[in-house]
Amino acid sequence: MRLELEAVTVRRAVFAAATGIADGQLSVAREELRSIIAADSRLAAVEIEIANPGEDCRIVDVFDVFEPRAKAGGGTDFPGVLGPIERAGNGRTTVARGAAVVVLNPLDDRFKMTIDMTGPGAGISPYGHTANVCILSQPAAGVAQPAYYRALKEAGLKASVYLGEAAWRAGGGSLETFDLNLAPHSPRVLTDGALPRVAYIYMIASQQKPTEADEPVLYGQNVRHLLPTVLHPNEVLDGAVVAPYWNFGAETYAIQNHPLILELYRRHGRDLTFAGAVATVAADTEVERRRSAMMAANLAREALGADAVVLTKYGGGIPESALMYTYDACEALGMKGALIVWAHGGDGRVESTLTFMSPRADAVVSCGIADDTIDLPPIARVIGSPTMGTALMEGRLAGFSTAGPLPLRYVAIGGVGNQIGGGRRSSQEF
Amino acid sequence: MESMRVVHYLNQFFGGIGGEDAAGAEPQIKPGAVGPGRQLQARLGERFEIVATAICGDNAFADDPAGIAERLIALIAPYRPQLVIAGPSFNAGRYGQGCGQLCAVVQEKLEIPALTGMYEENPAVEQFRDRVLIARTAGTARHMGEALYSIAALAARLARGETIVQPAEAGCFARGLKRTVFRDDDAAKRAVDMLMRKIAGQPFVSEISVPKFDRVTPARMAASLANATVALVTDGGLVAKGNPERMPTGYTDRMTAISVTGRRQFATDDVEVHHFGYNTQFVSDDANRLVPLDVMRDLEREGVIGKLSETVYSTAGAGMSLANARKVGREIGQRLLQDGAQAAILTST
Repeated sequence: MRLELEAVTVRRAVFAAATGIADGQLSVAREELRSIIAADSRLAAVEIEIANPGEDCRIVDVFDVFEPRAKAGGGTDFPGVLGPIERAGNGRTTVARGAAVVVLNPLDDRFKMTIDMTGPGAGISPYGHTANVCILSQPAAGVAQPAYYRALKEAGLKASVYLGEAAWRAGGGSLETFDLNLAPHSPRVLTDGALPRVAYIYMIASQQKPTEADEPVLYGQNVRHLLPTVLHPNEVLDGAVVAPYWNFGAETYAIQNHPLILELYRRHGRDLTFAGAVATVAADTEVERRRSAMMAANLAREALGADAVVLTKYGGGIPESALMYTYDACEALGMKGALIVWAHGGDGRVESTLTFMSPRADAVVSCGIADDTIDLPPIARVIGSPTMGTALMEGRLAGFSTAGPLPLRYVAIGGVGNQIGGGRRSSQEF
Repeated sequence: MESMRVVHYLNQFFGGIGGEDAAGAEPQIKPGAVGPGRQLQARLGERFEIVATAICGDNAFADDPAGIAERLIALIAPYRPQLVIAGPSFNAGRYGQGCGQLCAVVQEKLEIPALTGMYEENPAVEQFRDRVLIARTAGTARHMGEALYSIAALAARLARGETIVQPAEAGCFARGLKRTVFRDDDAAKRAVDMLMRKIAGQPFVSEISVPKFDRVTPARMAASLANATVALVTDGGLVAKGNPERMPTGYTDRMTAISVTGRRQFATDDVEVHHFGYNTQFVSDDANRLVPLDVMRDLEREGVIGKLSETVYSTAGAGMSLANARKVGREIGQRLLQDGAQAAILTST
């Protein structure tokens, strides 16, 4: 499978008469984009705003973030969600690199992210460095939460394609090629010599809060009872996987730029052979977790021929037992494993770092203490609600002015809580 | 250069007051170095001066740790120390507890550094390592020389204004805590690097260590099941309707008691569920599937069990620290004994 990403650079975004990209400037025809999004009858009061890096601006209520991308030269964008089912990960996709679509959710919900465009919050979030095109809306009368969330997801994907098409029209971007043949009978695989074959076991969702019936995660499916399945890494990079409604900082943007997949690609043929990916979910029952662990390990070993695996998780709690079962199953089949997890702060002690840990888990990378806080300073302009909601995991901040100082948990800052390899934030035992 | 003023703390034995017979000795202070303090002074060198030695009996300290520490502080403060060194106490439990307590209070009240030394099996290590710098020593005072050498080396680092960022790398016990840091590479690169080293059999350091797991041997049931009083316990967050005790949905340090007297099964009006860690919908629909009151009443009627204990104990196990889990577990165990239960069924989520 061969994917070409043509990346056209964007440094800032402005409103203009026509949408296009020139000299690093993304021009957005506000009314045209607004009318494309507002055409969805589930959405009311649609507004478009722009926030650029360095601006004294904060975006709250963040539901998901997308990188503008389009398969304008042929192929289906986000198959199974926007378009018909088609294999993702092949052909050419054009990217407005440096831009992002940020979709806001005005409803009171437990998980909503904050993005600062300046100050310490901007320093640690990937979206503090992107030119952000924000979509605000309200649910239309009579539209229930699940239908509204589905509409928000589609709105983000549509805006992503709309701006991605501008990148395609601009052209002249730099080309990144992702060419990997997973078929075990291929001559490449048979002759790739002594390099260890490393597979990636990718937990794409958790069912501790069950996904909605029409919540699109994998090719539009809600992965409610997903059995482990082999994915080509290109499928992940090219729109087969969309972030669940609760994404814990692993937004769709992060999946499109999956840090661990990109790292394994960088090292492919140098010190390892990238053997492919297995998608799993953290199930909400014990028997499903055991079944998933066994099958994922078996696919990595027998279908992908892996000597070693990297495993990542999604969210906290139940995913920790799902992850550790899978790790143990891999090691039992003779594959070496390394894990990426976040640390729970708890009472600050080492022993309260994870809710579940295999005594054999000896190679664990920490992507930071999820509930540690960072003080965000007051800010001039807020895109989104004027006050923090009550349902947030950050319940202690209910009623706080969103323009004021906010002592936010790291995990509540867009892009910071992701456990798929992005970011230098970590925890250290002492 | 002016030397750094040090107050040294010793127990009655090392302080030269007496053995076990003098363990009740009251807090006192002597100018200059005493006993092993003279050897410590030699190790510390001329950049330090032991200006006084505080002494207290081990039993006196153990009987009233907070009160004695306060009295010792009152004796120590007039000497205007810049550093307090306690012990070393090796494997002596009560002495270790006194050293740990004094160091903790010195840091808090006098706002100066303090340090001590202990053997790894001294129970005071677990008690104080999170807040006191404790040098690793051997198990007995036969190794006093080596222990004082380590302590003097640490004192020299503290005197330079250095903060011991990684105690374990400085010959001390790790504090057992964690903090946010930013590393040079992103998590993806670190994970693949670690994996490549693991594959190659090269050394690597995990960023999260495996905790020590307790192994609990299940108790043997005293009575036969047909004569036993059986209790129900859950960590699934079941609470009485309206959550009158305001049990948090996670990170909790307590449990709640739910009376089931006169109840054949849980009805939706009786109870609700507060737990952020799992899909609680099935419990909201039917709480008997979290705590099987209905089935246990059947077994009680059929004579399979002697009797169902009339109080259900519940907590929310989400994100609970091990320390809190141990505390809540002990409380529930005590209550079960008071209730006369001989067996308990624990349902988890």
